[in-house]
Amino acid sequence: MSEATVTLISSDKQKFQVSKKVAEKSVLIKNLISDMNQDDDDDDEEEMNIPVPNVRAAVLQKVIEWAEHHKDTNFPDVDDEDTRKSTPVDEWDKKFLEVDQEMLYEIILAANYMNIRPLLDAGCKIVAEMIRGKSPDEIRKIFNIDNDFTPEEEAAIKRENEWAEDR
Amino acid sequence: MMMHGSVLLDLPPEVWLNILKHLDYQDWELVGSSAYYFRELIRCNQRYLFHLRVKDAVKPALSRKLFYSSTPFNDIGASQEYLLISGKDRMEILGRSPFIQQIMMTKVPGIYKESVFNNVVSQQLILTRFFQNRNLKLRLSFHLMNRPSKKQLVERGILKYGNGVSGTIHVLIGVLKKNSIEDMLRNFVKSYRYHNNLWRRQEKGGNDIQMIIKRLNNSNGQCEQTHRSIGKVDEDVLRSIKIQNKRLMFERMT
Repeated sequence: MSEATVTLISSDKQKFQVSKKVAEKSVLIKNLISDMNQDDDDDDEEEMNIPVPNVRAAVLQKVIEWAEHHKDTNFPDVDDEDTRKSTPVDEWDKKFLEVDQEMLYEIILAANYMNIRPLLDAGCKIVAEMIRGKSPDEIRKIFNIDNDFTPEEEAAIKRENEWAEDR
Repeated sequence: MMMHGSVLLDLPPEVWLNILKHLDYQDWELVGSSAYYFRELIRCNQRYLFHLRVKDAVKPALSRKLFYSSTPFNDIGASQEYLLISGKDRMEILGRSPFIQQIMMTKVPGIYKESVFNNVVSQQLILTRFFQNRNLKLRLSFHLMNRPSKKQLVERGILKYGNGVSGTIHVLIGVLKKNSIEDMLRNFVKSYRYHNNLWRRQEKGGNDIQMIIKRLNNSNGQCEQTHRSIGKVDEDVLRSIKIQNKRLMFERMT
């Protein structure tokens, strides 16, 4: 018996046929499939077309690649904040997420939209590592963010943190 | 609206919150925009860096096997910003107060109440129970000690600032400044000796610093109370403390 498949359709109308098991790494899609199965009374195996309107093809392809790789992975309980936080990013995920910042954010957004918690966590951890231990100026530079603090606000922050600064 | 060239700030707030959780900012709630989170990150950043730096400064000291690895007492101290735990084989500094609160909520269910946490006495009570639960010997750090004033410590160059930080932070800042726990402690103890007049008799043999720490542990009535309350007190030590305290009172009266 062949493995059940579904077709995911990106925002730019590209179609990706994937196994149901892979697609169900996304809680959003898993719930959709479940709903569609309930609505569908006859036993005929129809081809399922599932639009993913917020995700463009290039990003969806990456997400599918991730899901394919992790289709047999058992992730920690999503409700266990401590375990999720303390679990280091998987080496494969690290390599997988070595992409330009724009793609990284799009993957994070897709994981958030499609409700793929482990991928979202991995992406967020990568961003957090980019921030960790950096000075405000370094952080702004890495993420290309302009400083929008007024001189008064800067001075107030400096005052607040004066005791922690090297003299 | 914030001007930026990065899509980082276009991530939804719930994603930002997730990023911050991985940076130990786990106390934050979903209350603002991504721009708000970024501004708050920058606002807290300096303290966070300090927290990391303190950790780096303390670890080498541990490896030199100073008194923290040999004293029989564990030591904790807390400020609004940090909780320091030192013990027979480890010393840890736990970050900003909401982080500490998080730990308290997790580890000491039923005791924690935010409204009382900021009250120093309640805070110490919580910490005491926290350690009692772990069956550890406890000394409530420099908070309860008859120490020289912060101002005096600043004047002696042991501390950098006199206000806004607790005794533990004073110690840590001393570590950072002198880069040696031993130096800092010697200065601290000199001041303590001067003020309490308890250090005339030089013990022969043994490690001077260890001896001093032992005395610090045993020469304060409140510490005695703490040890008694957790049932770990050595009766001989208690007797000698009482004698010393009486002598001290007598000297002060005359």
